[in-house]
Amino acid sequence: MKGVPILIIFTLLSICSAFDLSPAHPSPGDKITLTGTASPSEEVSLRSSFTMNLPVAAGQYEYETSVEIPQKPNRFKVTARNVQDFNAGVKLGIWITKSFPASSGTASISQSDVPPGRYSLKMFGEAQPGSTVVPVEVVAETKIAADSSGKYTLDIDTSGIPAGDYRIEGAGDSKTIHLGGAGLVSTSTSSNGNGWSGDGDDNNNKASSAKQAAKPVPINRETVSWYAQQTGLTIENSSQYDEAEKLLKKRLSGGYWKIIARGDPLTEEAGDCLQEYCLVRGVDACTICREKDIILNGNQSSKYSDRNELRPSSSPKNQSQQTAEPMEEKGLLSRFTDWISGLLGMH
Amino acid sequence: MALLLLLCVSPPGTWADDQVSEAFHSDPIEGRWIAPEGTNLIKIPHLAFSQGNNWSSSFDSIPVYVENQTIRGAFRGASEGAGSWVEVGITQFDISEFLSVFQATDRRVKMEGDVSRQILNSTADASFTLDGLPAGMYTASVFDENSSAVLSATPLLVTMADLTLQMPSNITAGDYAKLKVNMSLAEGRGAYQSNNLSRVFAAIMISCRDYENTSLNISGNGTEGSLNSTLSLKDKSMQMQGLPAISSDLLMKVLYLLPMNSAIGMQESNESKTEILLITDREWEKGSYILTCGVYSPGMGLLGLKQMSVEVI
Repeated sequence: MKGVPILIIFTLLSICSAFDLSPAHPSPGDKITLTGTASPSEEVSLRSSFTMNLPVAAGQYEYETSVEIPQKPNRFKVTARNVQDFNAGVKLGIWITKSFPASSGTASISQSDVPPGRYSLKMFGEAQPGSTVVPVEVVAETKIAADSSGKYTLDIDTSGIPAGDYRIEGAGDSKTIHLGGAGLVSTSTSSNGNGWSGDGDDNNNKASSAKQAAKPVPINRETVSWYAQQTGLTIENSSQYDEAEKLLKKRLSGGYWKIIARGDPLTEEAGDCLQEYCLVRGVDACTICREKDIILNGNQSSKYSDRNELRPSSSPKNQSQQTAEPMEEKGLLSRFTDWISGLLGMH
Repeated sequence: MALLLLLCVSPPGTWADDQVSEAFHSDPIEGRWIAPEGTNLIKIPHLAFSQGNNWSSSFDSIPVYVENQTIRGAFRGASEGAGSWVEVGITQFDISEFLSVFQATDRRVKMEGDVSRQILNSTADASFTLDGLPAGMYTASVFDENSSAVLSATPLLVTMADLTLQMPSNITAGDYAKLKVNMSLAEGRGAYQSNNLSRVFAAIMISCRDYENTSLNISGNGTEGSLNSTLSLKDKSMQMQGLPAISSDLLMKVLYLLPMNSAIGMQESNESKTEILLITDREWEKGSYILTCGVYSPGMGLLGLKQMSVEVI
């Protein structure tokens, strides 16, 4: 008999807690608005996850992006597989890197209450021998408080998130959204059903076709000249031409970077390459470039609106990554604080 | 506190790996300074203490000894002190006491270990040797034997281990910089070597030019409540009331003060050796950089601290 009222309550809660997402067909970089209803002043937990497959080149993998971390409380977890080691870097004005050893080819980072703000992120390291991809799963969680009438709104900024299908879970509801565009990121399905989960096979196919469409341009005098211009070198000076060629070859070595020509598809919502050439990565290059520009040109301090804002990262962010097994651990800054406090004999 | 904040946060630079170098602690013009010898000197941002209108002391490096390593140095006295007797001794470091060190008259009662009694030669100099110490932060002070007045004082650090740092001497801007760290524990610390305690290896890299333009000035009228600290990095500065209190907020502020061409790397390991990766950007200014590495163990404290210089090309 007890089971019946519990079931009814659960059902009612589920109905009351449903949320909606708009727009229905967003592109990467768009802001998605999540609106829902809960009990007045109720705190609603939201969780997302997705998995992306990072290409392995010369035994190495690398991914760079920029994300905005939402208000606290928040929690992020990133798990990389097929790796020998895992290094995560976050730019807090300067690059702060932490390395994580892998156990049986898997390394995890988890961090709670990351200070809100926009961060550039890098993850890189050595893949396990024979691996062609490094699957990286990203999970992001946050909480949002409903207002006095029970309504809540959350803006999700998708910049830095690869194209693909994602599911958002929370408040007894679950919805899948698709970030459109022929993104170059190969995204696979997150099978654990957490938050944003990718629709892997479909996205992998899209990634392949997109890559085929954007055929790399070979290194020749034209591309070297273009690259020299980008890097401030003067091709009339033969040594600088050689230097530009050397730098370009180095940049393209390993196959992670490539040059595409005007009109070739870039990534995500960015459309085609509008310049003579574009230097892109295999992974959402456009978003990265755009976000980098924002970082470089704009104020890096976090800007918060009155609304809640969630930025599930394509890599975790954070200043304090923690190691392998996902017990809740202390952050990098806390470590620094501990370190310095210890040095001072304050413990 | 402020001194050590700078030690870790706005990294020091190094020069001499372990070797003889002479640091001017106190006023090198007027004499009355202590010059540690034969040890690892860690260059710190310029640190100055002032009381009222009088500068008490300024430092640009700190000596680091390994546990039980004999402490050697020289006291360079003011010329009028020639022929007088001085005592050199060591106390536990305390920032408040340190700031008032030149007003103290009874510090000898707090001495750790032995005291070296020396007579100043005709140039008012004296060499001293003191027994090694357990790990910790200390103040080495020189007293006038007659008046008990403190003639000079300098902070010094004793760590449980010595570090060996390896990094290519030239790093291309935009590449990852890989630092290999090997930690050798002091004699008698063998048990710690084999246990399974976690260690945090951390390194910070900053250009020499920026580093040399970094300073921390602490001023006050003699009471802790009157203290003001100003941390300046190039054209940026941050003022703090009282002594800088170590916190995440403060560290975040300091991080944003650091020049863009700086990087921090961390690694946790149970081993005595590990690798730390630092990210450089292609936009980094070329030139000499200071790399400072420290190893910390929760519950054990600072295990080691070392610096080296590298060139970014």
